[in-house]
Amino acid sequence: MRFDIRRLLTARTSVLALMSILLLAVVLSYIIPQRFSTPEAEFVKWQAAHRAWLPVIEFLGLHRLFSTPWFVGLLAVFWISLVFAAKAQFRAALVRTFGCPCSAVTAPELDGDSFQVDLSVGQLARGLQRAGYFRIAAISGAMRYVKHPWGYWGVFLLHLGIMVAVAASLFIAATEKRGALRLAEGELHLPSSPWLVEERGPFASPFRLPEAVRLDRLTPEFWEPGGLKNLQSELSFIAPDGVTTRRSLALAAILDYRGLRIYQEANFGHVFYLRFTDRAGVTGEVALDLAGPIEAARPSYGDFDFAEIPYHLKAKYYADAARETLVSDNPQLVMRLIDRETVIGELALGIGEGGLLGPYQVRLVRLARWAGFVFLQTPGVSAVFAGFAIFILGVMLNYFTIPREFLVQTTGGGYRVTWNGSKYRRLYLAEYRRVEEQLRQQERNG
Amino acid sequence: MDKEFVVLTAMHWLAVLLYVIATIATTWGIIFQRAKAERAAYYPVLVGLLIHGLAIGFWWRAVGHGPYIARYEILSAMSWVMLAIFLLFGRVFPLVRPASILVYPTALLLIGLAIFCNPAVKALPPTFRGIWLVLHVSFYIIALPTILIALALSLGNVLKARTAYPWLVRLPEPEDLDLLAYRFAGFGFVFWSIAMLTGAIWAYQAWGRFWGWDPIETWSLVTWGGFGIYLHLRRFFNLAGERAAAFFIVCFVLAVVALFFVPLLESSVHSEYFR
Repeated sequence: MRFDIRRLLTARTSVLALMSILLLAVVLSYIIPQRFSTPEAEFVKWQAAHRAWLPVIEFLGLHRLFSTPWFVGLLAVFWISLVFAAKAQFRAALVRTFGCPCSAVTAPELDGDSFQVDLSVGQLARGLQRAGYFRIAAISGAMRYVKHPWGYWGVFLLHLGIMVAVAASLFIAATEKRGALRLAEGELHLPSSPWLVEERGPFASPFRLPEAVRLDRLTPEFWEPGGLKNLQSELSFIAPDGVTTRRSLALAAILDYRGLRIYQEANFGHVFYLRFTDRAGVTGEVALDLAGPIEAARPSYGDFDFAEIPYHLKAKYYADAARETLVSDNPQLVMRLIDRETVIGELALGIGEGGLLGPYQVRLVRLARWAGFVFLQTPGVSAVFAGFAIFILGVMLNYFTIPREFLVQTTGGGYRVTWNGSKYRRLYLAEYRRVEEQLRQQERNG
Repeated sequence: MDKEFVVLTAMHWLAVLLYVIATIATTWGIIFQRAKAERAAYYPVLVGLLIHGLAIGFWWRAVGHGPYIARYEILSAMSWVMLAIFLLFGRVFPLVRPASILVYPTALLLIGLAIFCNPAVKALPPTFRGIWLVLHVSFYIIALPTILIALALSLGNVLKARTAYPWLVRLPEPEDLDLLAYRFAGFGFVFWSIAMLTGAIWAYQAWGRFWGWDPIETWSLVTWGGFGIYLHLRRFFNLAGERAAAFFIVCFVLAVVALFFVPLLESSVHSEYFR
């Protein structure tokens, strides 16, 4: 039974069909929006425009294609097929590299590419070595000289590499933990606090940080004409016993801490803490969380609705009240209070300033920078890269180092030298002729 | 910078002129079977490469980063690398030299497109740095001429099988064209794979994801899979000759879509370089 399954899974047609279906699935994932990567509004719009297809799409799970049982099953079958193929290729590479020279003699393609020379073994070996052919196997009366014998291992490594990469990718998809946070300077995120966004593999436990984390300081840098150049953060990790560890990270300068991989995201801005006092003297505080501008003369915008305020609040802010720099401790917040369609108040504030906004007395009591962070726990990523690197090594050996070999057999009056140029025979015929000519020259010179 | 732009544009135009001369000479040489003209085409290409290379270096120095961010610089670098790689392969595999009839005009087209793009100085986005990004872009740029040579050989094979133009005698035998196309498709597959791997490492360093299913990644994977199937069919199903050439042409179209059209049409992290 096992034999049959192996034959089925390693049959050329099966492998081709599997590769084609997997590729088709990837194309489908491009055509049909995937839930995990499409904004909700866009997703709903697409569904509304393709109602006729929805039953089929829902039935096959094409909106979450890569996590459907049929896709995972296909990938698993593909992987098993790779395991069988890699095993077979390993054996084949062993035989081709170190196998008995006699086996090559019977190959039909060798007919014609052979000649007779009267040289000693040593002379023959030297002549062939000069052309890059090295003796790698011998039995009485026959020797194999091979150029690029490692080329025989290309197909095995290719299969092994994909096998490792696919297995590692599946392991990561099943066990990875990813949490996104947005922290303001001075803000503490406790291990029990919820993430802004959390993604987990189906076999992963809830993602909890081992320690509380606090953003102590955020330092943005900008290019001269505008645009973000870098963001650097100072973080404090506070253990349950109160021990604090300080670490810094920046864009593309990842922080590894206690098995976590922490990324600085490119989003940043200011949180404006405002105190609102209404006409009755009731006071409340709200925080406006706005993305940072990337040009000094242009503000960034935000819209807010708060339970405590029965109006819509539109806000914008400039990085610098004087509009001269992007790195300033004096940003300017401009707010508009809107009652349905009507603007009922407008106010511009700097730090510590106050004024009247519609029916409210508003004061900007404090501001702080904020930034986004991603925390990862994804063991196995190196295995994906290693697998793909092994695959590339295999493909390189396969196409850059084509093995060619000479079989040298003793005959009555010297040696018969037979050449095997494998599937690229035509491309290396000139090399064969050159070697033949060199050996004949040696023969003539005695 | 204005004066520098003038010099830079002049250098690019001079390279264009030299590539035009080379294209005419090689086409003349191949079509009218003038081996001397075909050989003479190498000289303007070499001089053009020198001037073009200086222009790229000049731009590199001016903007402070290699040619891997803006469309202008990428297209210009693609054109330069295409010719340099072709000359290199032409030395190792003399049989591929007639592919110049396709490689030279393509390089000309790329440098022309580069010139007509606005050569704006783009500040490096924060995540667009590091050796992995440089390798990622470089290997796609290297993969392109390799698969273009395979395309030229495949087209030559189809033409030889279906037509009887006298100039086709300048091309290698159909069996050699077929084998070389297979070999160069394999080279292209290697470079494309390295570009994907280095891109995955770069993405992991920049965003914490080694694969994000963004449109360009998806199309690059589809192209890679297409090449993989082509090579699998050739190795295990003995696909050869015209049918293999036709399959490869489809793969090449996929590669062009992935490299040039998806970045223009789709929004993704990769699009930053091509908009």
